[in-house]
Amino acid sequence: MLSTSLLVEQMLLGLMMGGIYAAIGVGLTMIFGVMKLSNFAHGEFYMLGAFLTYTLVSALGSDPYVVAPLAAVAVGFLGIILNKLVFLSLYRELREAKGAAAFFFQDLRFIMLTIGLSILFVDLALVIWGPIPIAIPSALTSHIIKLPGGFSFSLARIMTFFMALASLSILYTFLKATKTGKAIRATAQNPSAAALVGIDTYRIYDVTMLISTALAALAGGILGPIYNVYPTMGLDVVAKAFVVVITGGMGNIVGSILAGFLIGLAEGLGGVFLGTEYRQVVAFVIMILVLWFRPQGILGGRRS
Amino acid sequence: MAMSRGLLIGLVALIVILVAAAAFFLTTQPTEAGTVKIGLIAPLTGGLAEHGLDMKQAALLAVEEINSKGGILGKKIELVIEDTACKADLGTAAVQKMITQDNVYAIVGEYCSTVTLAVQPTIMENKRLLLVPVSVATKITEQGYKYTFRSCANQWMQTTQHADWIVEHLKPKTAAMLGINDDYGREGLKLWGERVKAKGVTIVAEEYFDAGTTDFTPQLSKIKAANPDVIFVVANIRDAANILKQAHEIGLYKQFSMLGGVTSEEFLQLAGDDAIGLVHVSYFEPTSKRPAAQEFVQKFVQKWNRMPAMYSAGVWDAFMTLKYGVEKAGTWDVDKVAEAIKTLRFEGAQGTIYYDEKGQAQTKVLLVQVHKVDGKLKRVILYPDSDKEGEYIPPEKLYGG
Repeated sequence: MLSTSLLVEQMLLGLMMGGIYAAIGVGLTMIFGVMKLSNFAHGEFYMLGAFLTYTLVSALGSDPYVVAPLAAVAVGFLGIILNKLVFLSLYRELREAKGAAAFFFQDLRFIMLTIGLSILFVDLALVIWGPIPIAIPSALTSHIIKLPGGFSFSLARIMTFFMALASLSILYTFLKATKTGKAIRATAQNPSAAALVGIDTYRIYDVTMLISTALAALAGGILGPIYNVYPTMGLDVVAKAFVVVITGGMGNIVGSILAGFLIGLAEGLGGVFLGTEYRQVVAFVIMILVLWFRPQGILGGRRS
Repeated sequence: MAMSRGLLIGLVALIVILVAAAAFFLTTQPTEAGTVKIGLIAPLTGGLAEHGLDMKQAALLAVEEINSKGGILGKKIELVIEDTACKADLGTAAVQKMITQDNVYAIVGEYCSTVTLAVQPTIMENKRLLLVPVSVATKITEQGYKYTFRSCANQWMQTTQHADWIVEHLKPKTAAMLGINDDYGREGLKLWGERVKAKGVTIVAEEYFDAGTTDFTPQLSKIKAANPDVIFVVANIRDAANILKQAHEIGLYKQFSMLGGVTSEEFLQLAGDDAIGLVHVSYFEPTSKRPAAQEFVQKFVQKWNRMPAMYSAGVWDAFMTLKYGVEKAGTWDVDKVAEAIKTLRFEGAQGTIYYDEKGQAQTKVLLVQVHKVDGKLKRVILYPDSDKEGEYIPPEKLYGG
């Protein structure tokens, strides 16, 4: 009954989905690694990126794949503003109260703050853009690429996959090769030591917030034309993003990329062998198995 | 901050007292003499907010219409709207507030069958009318509640008439089914599957997706491998549009057929040309030539500047049921009104409305196919013959080989 073409098709689709999971998960894991912040509003930056892309497309008449990076940068700056307005005073207060320990301490107030922000953004989007789902028009969605073996994918899906890969590669190189990238990694490894050698950790928080929210927004902008855009779209992805982060190892960027692809692939194959009604369960089963045998996550315990 | 502790506590206390006083004043404001309150519960936030909007706009329009013509038995209607976000607990809280604080006479709602079933006992125990305009779960009108009336076709009416038409006209040998993984999808697939199986059709794939899914390619890829003659889908508009787009993307060009949930202009906008050829159930067509439907569409477009969706028609008919029921009974006595509604027969937006003993409206189910006429997407009525506007076009003719 099982045909190889079905398996191959599922694996291709799973890998493409995995690229998206990776892009959303990486931003979330980075914020956790550097700022010790579980950002439950991460999905809302994804949603804002999609809506902003839509607004730019209708204002400029351009293609979403051209303006999505612009929208991503705009959302990134919103991330910095939020960091300065909402999180900074709480970080300062924590550091005064707990000293160096504050750097390793995940405070409940941050979690509640991000949940509050999430609700606020969903309702704001409801007021600004309304509840009716929107399809972002793009020339690439109707452009279907036919591959040998009866497979076909839209150019938009392929473009999305490669843009996700490109943004991940750029981020990786940035963290490895630039001075700011090294400062970010140093802050993630040992914040008090990083502060001692003269790294302005509060500025690093701003940069981290910018990268993290911009990545989420970019994913929203490039997925918008394939799926639809609606205020609660972020809530639909945030749980999956956390699964990716936990499976990969909290704060580990390469781990999140691997976990993203692993979960995308496993969902595709799980749908074939177990039935598609169990597709959502697959990701959580993987997470539980990983936590069972390797509680620190696939690549956890080692920082990339 | 250099604010003294005592000042801070005093300030907070003052705010609490002011808010409490305001709340007391607002909630205990007596109902104006000569008005009757009617509640509307709908998902105004959350993933189904777009349908909540369809319902809310229709309710506001209906109340405006009734009040502009002198109200019901000389009393003006005051609408109380509460959000449920399609959650049973929020729905229950909303209904309790409507009954104890607002003292509503009747409640119109909900969208989600799970919420309707959850709030139904409370409403019935308190002897209020429940007018169900959207929820299709067959069970709602099968429990023997005498104050429950549903103004739209239920799941059983939709799926069986749909299945019969598909078998008779498309003559499929095999079928695949794809549904949302909740009571709506599960019941739809079960009823439809049993009906077509009894007529000799083999089900080659049965797939489900969870609410909030955006990528349907795993399910569609499996269906493609099973190669069915026809694909039956139970989904809301956002999911349905994605399903059609993604099916065509991976090269699945078979006859898709769906239930009534996709009858809206927004669906056609979202799905675009991928909707062409789709056969689906509708219980309301805004193009209908019937005067009652035309009147409703005209008023809706005038007020909201958009075409009404099917859900709006259901809500409108629910309010009209209430109006005509009370007027026929000549009293607000809820038992007499419930009896009067069962003897009603009126021209509503969805057609001639009359209720059976269980409170289920015997509305007509339409089957439509999406065609492209003069460059625009249009739903063409295929069934019943009395409303027929065009012929069925098989997918081979639309898409080639």
